[in-house]
Parts: sequence; structure tokens; C-alpha cells
Amino acid sequence: MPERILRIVSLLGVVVLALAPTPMGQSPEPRGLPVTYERLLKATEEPGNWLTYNGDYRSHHYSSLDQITAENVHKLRAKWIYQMHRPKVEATPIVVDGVMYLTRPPSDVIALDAETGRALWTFEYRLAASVYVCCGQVNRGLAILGSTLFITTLDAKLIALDARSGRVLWKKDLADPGLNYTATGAPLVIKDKVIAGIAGAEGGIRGFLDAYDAKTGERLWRFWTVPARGEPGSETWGGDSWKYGGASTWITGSYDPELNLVYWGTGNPGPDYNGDVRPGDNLYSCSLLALDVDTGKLKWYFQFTPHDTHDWDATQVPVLLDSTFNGRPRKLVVLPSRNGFHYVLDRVTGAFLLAKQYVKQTWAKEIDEKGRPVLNPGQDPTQEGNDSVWPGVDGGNNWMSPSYNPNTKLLYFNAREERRRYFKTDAPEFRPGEAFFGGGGGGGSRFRPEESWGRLIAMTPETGEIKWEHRILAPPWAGALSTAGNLVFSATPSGNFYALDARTGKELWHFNGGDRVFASPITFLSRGKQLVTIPIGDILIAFGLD
Amino acid sequence: MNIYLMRRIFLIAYCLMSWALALQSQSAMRSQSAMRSQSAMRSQSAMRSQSAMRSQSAMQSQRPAGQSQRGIPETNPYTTAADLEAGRKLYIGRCGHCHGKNGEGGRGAPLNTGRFKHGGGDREIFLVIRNGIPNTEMPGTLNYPELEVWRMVAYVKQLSRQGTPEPATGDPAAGALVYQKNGCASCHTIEGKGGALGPDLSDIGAKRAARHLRESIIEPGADIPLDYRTVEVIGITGKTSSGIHLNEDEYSIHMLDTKGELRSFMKSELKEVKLPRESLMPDYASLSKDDLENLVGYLSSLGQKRRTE
Repeated sequence: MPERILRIVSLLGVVVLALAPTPMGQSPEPRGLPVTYERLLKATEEPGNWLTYNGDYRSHHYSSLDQITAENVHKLRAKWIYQMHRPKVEATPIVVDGVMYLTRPPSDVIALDAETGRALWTFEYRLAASVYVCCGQVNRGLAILGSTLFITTLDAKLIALDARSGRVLWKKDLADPGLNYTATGAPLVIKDKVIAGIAGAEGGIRGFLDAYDAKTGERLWRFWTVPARGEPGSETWGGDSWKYGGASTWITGSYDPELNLVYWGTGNPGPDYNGDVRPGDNLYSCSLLALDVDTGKLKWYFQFTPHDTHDWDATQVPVLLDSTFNGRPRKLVVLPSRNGFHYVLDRVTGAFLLAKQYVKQTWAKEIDEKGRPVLNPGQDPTQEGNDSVWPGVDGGNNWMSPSYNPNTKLLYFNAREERRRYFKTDAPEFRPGEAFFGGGGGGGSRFRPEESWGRLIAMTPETGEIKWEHRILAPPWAGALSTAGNLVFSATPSGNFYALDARTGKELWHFNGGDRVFASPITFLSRGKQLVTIPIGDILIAFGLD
Repeated sequence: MNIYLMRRIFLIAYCLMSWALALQSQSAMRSQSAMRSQSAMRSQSAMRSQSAMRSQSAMQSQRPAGQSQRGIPETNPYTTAADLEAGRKLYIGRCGHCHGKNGEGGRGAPLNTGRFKHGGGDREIFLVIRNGIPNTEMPGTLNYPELEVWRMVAYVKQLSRQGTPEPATGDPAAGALVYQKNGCASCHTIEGKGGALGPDLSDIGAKRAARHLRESIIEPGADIPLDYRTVEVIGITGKTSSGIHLNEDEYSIHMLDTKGELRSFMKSELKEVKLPRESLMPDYASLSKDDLENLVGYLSSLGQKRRTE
């Protein structure tokens, strides 16, 4: 057969294949790269992929895949393992049509064949500078636009990589790592911009959130999370304390395209435990910010913990819901805050709607009608150590991804029940390469097991009502994933990866991975079959039905 | 025709034709071969660099900048009155709840005796405070600024010069007989001899103050070491087992039972799991005052021949 005819026939074949309807329950034909902004906007229409840190712009961390169900999950088994040989893997991968893009500490990127777990390429990043980090050399993930991946690095850089090769396209400084700036969170791509946060509030940084041009790396705007003297909010900082005020932005936010607002949480003020040197509310620490994506201008803010002295960052994932509140349709943003209260806000205006306690807490008598905590006395850190405080320094919740399931209409997240001991020391002086704590919070070994445990909570997010809960031996560090298969996946510090019935909380399956879990599970399709993955210890494991 | 069957046929046809086209083109073969070897090289290189990264990672500790072991001076550079005062505040907040506000000891070793099991030099104390002591309850302070660690070293050294206000006064030789007579060795080990249900006492004198030893003899449940917390499980048939709590997760629990056997239980096969606040050790409050002090004297003498400042 002449070559020309062969080509025409084969082309016709491809056209027919492309036009053929997709059977129910299967993903569309792989589209591969590029991942356009339009695809990101409609990420939930590609359940075979996992295109952003939290699965979609609303940060639902939910999948409509339903091959693995409450009925067959007991058949789940390990399919492959990818070894990272690095401590404390906190990464959530993204998946594009059979290729998984994963980060490993400190700031490496690996492209894996999602079917086999074999590496396609590895980008090994050598830190350009020695960096002070408070909590391990972690990285939480990537963003993608077109055929470009974006990662922030431990030495405070933003790097664009060719997703096909791992080749560096551009590299920009977020800030000076010599001044204790570091970066650990996954960026968020919106339109043609890369939104990137910063970390280092335990080292005395002044926090910010940045937007960069995805093509060139040019910085388009910066929002300082600690206002400089004379700027609105600066009156909430005494003296020069704003210069080292913290309020980092180390967890990926959410986005509402209709409002053109990006929602991003901020971390603790610095020094963490000695608030004497920073009198005032310390805006915009421990807050949720709503910023205009095009300009970076502040639309509204809500501060969960004014003048925090317990290291209760508000860097929880903000979950966007279009729902009703008190019978009225509203655009909501909800999050269980590290301070022990679950909050419901109007995401158009930032109006406070509800706060409800979800773990044992001793620091606030109540949250008043404006959303401000009414403090209990005797809950601040003391020189000798105050061990009467709940929750612990790691909070009632932390950075781990929650999951909102539109079928059950429940929010699933891990709660941490802990009593801890808080002490303060003299206010530290800022020093490059050194911590800026002004005290500490811990002493876990002093407390009995019944003073430290965990719960996976299924909550009606609009009311804070807990529908059911699943008790865990120790306070967890894993995120949750819920699926259309009526499942919730999560994991425990003892290394157990497990699945519950999303409707009832009944435990259906578990697997002992043998190490602590500091990450969130995701799910996707590989060759048309649903896989679930989670990092356990320093490995990533993929599970499937057969 | 079924649409899926049609798709499959087209797919197979497409593959076959692509294969035929590929065969026709020698240049395509050359390029494929080049790609294969490139890929193999890349994978080899990835393996090599992965291994290099592993060793690099092993060398690159989690320590913040400026806290590598090599650069630590032998002598504390921060010993002014202001450093001592700052060190006192740090010590009270960070260390006092285990080692006692004045270094008198408690759950942690006494620090006012002038004897340090892990070395009493400035640098040695610095390393213990910063890195902790493996397999003990002593945590490290890896994230603390060097300055603050040095200031704690200064204060700990000052404590060590104060001397203990309550030395053990009992007769160690007589105490050894009390130890023997009361069958302590059935649970405790000294220099390799004895049981495993209680803590090894071979160097308990270096680890705990006389006050703490006395309290532990009279009221063993007052402060149970983490590794010796007790567990009691009740099976579905009502059979009870108890022992030292070794490990536990959401599904299973493990103990060294009172007969000295390692036991594992699936929680699904248990009616109840209890974590009693009581120690497995019976109290010896009925000992005469002399016997008690002699026993404390004996225990305090254990491990004291080791390294001193």
C-alpha cells in the first residue's frame, strides 16, 4: 500500500476515534499537554487527572471517579512504590494524562509514569544557599500551565520547568534566603499568573504573597501581609515589630473566577510565643486574605486569631462553597482553623457568619458576633511554662487538605486533640540563620495518651455540625480525599492508610505503610483504571483494584 | 457495529499502519535507537545522581544554617551575667519541668551534682541540649538559635556548681541487700542481671536524683517512664492480659506481659483496652526508713563511676 494512502486511512481512523462517544464512567481520551487555563477552570471535568494542588480552584480535594467504591474498596492493593529517600514528604502530586509530577524534599521534581511508577525524568535542585527552616526541608507540590511546571524552592526561588523534560525555563528570587525566607508551598496558577507564597515566620521574615508572569517570571504584584509603617493595618504593630512580623503564606489558596478573587491564609506573627514586643492585633497575621488576582489589592481580610501567641497560623486550605446559609443562597468560604474553631465566612464580603468549636480548646470563652475571640484568662505562654492550653502548638487542624464531597455535602478533615505546654522567653533579636521563636510549645511526652489523639471529622460545613467522626490514636498530619465512590481516604501517624464509607464513617479498608504520613491522598486514572496514591514516610504508594 | 468494537478495530489498524510506516523508514529506526540509548543513559545518570543525592542528603542534616557539628567551639562563648540570666529563663521554660527548676532532677537527670553522663565540657553539654539523647526522653533543640543553646549551657554549668542539697545518705552495701531481699531483680536489671519488666538500673544513680528514686520506691505510679507505661487488654472471652505497653496503632496493640512474653493482639478481637495509670511495680512504702534510705543510697551509687567533669 502506498505510504500516502496508509497515512490518509490512519488519519481517518484517528478522527473517528476522536469523534466516538465516551462510555459512561470512563475518562475522555487523554489530552496531555498543554494544560490551559480553561482546563484548570474546568478541572473537575477531567476526573482522570489531578491538575492543581487541591484538585480544583475551590479546593474541594474531591474526585468524581467511582471505580473504587465502598463495595469493592476491600480489594484495593498496592500497585507500585516510588522511593524518595527523603524525610518528611508532604507533597501532593499533580497528574496529567498518565504522567504524575511529584516533588520530593528539598525541592526536586520527578515526572513518573503513573501506570508503573517509573521515573521519566528527575529535576534535582541543589540549594543555592544554606537556609534556616523551622520544620524540615519540605515541599508540598507544583502548579502547571501549558507545558510548564512551577515550583517554589527551599531557598526561596520560583522555578519554571519544561514538563516534558524537567529543563529549567526560568528561575526567579522570591526573597533572600539569607534573611530566613524560605518557600515550601505549591504555587497556584490563575490565568497567566503564578501565585506563590513564602515561608519563614519562625525566622523573623516579613510575609508576602506574589504573582508572577507565567511566561517570563516577571513579578506582577506583591501583597505584603505585614503592612509597613503608615500603611493601613500598621497601627496594629508596636514600634518596629512589623519588620519581623511573620504572617507567611505557605499553603496554597483557592480562587473564585467569578469574583476574580484569590483566597489565601497567613501564618503566625513573630516572634511566635512572645507577644509583648508586638502589641496590637498584628494584621494580617493568622488571617484569610481575599485579593484581586489582577492587581493584588486587598478586597477583604478576616483575622481568626488576633495577636496570636500560640503559633496558630491560619494556613488552612480555604474551601469555597456555593451553598445556603440561614436559608439564603450565599457564596461561602469555610475552614476549620488551627485555633480550634470552624469558621464560615461570606466570600464576597468577608462577613463573619459562624464559628463553631470542633476540638477541645481552652483559650477562648467564645467567638463574638463579629468573629473576634473573647479570651479566657491564663492561656498565654509563661516563663515557667503554661501546660493548661488546648489545642497544642500544631493546632486543632493544620495545613493538610480537607475534602468537600458534593454528594454527601460533608466536609472531611483531620482534627488534632492535644494539650501542650507553652513557654516564653525574652524576645529574640533577629539573626540570619536562626529561629525567632521567643519561647516554645511542646512537652508532648509529659502528657498521657488520653491528652493527645486524633479524629477524622465529617462535618456539615455550613453549620459546623459533626455528622460522624473516626477516632485515630494520635493527632494526624494527613489530608483527606473523598470520592464519588462514597469513600473517604486518609492516613494516620502510625502509617495506616485507610478508607471509610463517606456516608457513615464505617471503616472499610486499611493498609499499614509502616511510617508516619504527612501528606494528602489523591486519585486519578491510569490507562482507564482508578488509582489512589499517598506518600507514606519517604515513599509514594499507588493503590488500585487489580 | 458496537461503537467500542469499532474503536478497537480502528486502533489496531492504526497501530499496524504506524508500525508499517516505521519499518519503511530506516531513519526512523535510527532515531528510535538513539532515543532508546539516550533514555538508558538518562536513567543511568538519574540512578547515579540519585545515589549522589542520597549521600548528599545524609550529609545535609535538617539542622539550620550555622549549626553543623564541626564549628562548635570547645568553650562557651556566651558566659556574661546577661547570658546567664537569659539562660536561666530559657532553662526554666524549656528544661525545668523535667530536670527541676534548680537542677534537682525529676523525670530528667539531676544537673546540680557536677556529674554529667554524656560529658561535662561546654561543647558536650551543648551537643546534648541541641541534639537530645537517643533512646531517652531527652529531646533536642535543633531549631533553637545557637546563642540560646549556649546560654542554656552557661546556666546548666552554673547549676552543676551548686551541689545537690539532698545527697543520698544511705549505705550502698546495706541497700544492695535490701534490693536483693525484696526481689527487685525479678523485674529490674543491673549490669546485665535481672528481669526486663522494669527499667534497667545499671546507671540510675547518674540519671535520677535521690529524691526522685525515693518517690519511685514509695509511689511507683507517680511518674512512670514513657517506655514502661502499662496496658491491660480484655479479650472477647473475658481473658485479661497485662504488661508493658510496647506499641500500638489503630488496629493492634503489643506488650511485654507480666510473664516476660512478647504478645500481640488485634483490637478487633478485644473487648477492651485499658491504659492504667498505675505502675506494674508494687509500692514499697512499708520499707523501714533505714531500708529505704539504704536502698536509695545503693541506687544512687549506680553509674557514678562513669565519666565526670
